[in-house]
Amino acid sequence: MRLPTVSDYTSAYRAGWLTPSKLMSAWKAAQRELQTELLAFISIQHEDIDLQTMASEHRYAVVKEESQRDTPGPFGGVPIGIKDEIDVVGYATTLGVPFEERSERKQVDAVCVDRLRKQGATIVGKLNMHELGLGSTGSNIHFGTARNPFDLRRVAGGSSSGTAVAVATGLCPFAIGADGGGSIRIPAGLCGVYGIKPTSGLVPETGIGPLNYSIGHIGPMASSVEDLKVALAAIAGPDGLDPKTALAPRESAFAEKCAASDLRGLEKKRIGYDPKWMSFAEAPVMTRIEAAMKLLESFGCDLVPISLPEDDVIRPVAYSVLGTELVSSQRRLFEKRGSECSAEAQLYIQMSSSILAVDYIHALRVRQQLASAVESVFHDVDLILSPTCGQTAPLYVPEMGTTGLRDDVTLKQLTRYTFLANMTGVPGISIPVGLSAEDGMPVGLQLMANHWDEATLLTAAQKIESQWPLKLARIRSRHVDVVNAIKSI
Amino acid sequence: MGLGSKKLGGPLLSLTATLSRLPIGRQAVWSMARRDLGMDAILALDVSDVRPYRLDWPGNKYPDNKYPDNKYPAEYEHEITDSK
Repeated sequence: MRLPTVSDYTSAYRAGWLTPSKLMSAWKAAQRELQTELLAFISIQHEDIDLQTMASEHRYAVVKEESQRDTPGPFGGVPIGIKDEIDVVGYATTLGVPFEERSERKQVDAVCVDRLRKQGATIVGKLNMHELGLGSTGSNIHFGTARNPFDLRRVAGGSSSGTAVAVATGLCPFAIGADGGGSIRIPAGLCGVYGIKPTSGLVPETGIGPLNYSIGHIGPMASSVEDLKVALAAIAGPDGLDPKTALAPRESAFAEKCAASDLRGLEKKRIGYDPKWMSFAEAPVMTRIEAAMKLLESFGCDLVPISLPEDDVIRPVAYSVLGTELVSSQRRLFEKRGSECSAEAQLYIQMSSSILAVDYIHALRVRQQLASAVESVFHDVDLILSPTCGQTAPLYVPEMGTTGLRDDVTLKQLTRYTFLANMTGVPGISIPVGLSAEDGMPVGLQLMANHWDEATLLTAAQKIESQWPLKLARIRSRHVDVVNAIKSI
Repeated sequence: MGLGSKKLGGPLLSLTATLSRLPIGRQAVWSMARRDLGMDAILALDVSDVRPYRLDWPGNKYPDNKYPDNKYPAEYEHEITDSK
């Protein structure tokens, strides 16, 4: 069974056997059922959804009458969820904490949400996340920790935990997350969906958090590469407000580049991998990664050993930048509410608050060295390959949030491959490459490309998807196909 | 293999446990963080000839430090691009 795609929704609406209101009625029932187990959503406003649904229904009706005044748009009536770090009109942006200071209902959509809405998307709610984006498991003592659809005893990963769950369960064909250290790619990898962190500056961050201004990026997760592509194309491009987008190529025409990506082959593409990096991943993960490497070779790629900066250097730099930017952006909140955060968050806040200015600047200089090292690697290869995470989804341990106990071994395994793309701004994608033979949990392959080369990442993902579709892997996970469920009635 | 199937531990555990029990000063926290997060290792690196990373430095994203229109930063004219 495969999960419904954007075109499944819109084709059904155009064919007339499904209407947005009929769909949404079934969607709400499915969401309620899944929410009790999986905790993907932080908030849903049913009246708001009903208004959007009525508008979509009207637009499809108008199209039927052959009027071109108000078309449904490419995402007309398609349910899309948004991580609770991104502003949506009528909702608070909680950042994963339920404090009064974060309860103001937003009057303006973030630019990425506005772009989706203008293309017809029905925004169905705000998605769960690791408290303040401060971790990679999705742990949240306030709203509950989102669980993995493949095994409810395990976490979904984070920080964009709810985004991954909403996509993996089929509630949304794509959903929007944010990635400051792997927060899109990690949960995508652990939940068996596609997730892309774009080049820094490709997607405007106007109307986001902000949590980590220099390393956080907005991007989609999707259950198909086609939907990942259309979602990214819809939200990409300068907005004239976010200064980070000023460096985006003027001639980018990103949507066109994406659309053309499936026309490009992978023959002769050089894909680098660092054997030392990969040696830290657990054996069942590496079994799937090695199978993916063989598949890429069969497409005509050259797999080339390379040398990348070591985790012992990347990690302290990442912590220094992530932590100081977070404390800086949320200083007032922490001063008033720090003691109400989880012990894990309190530790992180205390630690990050203690970083000296001279040490922070030093870390930025080492960061520049990392950027130079990665630039050198891309002189020789087109893509860099690694696992997304060194292990599959960890078990949920409630004590983590309340006592501050933190398993540093697991933390390193989840993040050791993802930090580098945030530190250097290059794009990275997580591609599902099957299930672990040991625990049956999804394994993700990460590919990184040079700045602005998302098209090659999407091409590689599409080629792998053509050989290893996800539908078989779905059999044992919690999921729903609302579109086909209605069709079969 | 997941959390719980392994020995809980690692440096952060000791740091967390300490913080949860003791009122502790800012400098003490940072000195522990230096040790536990490996900060001492990167602080030992010689970066005397390296500029700090900047988001707006084209050399981080383009070869030869040129913007995509093949101009050097000094030649570059900022243009406000309208939203889609």
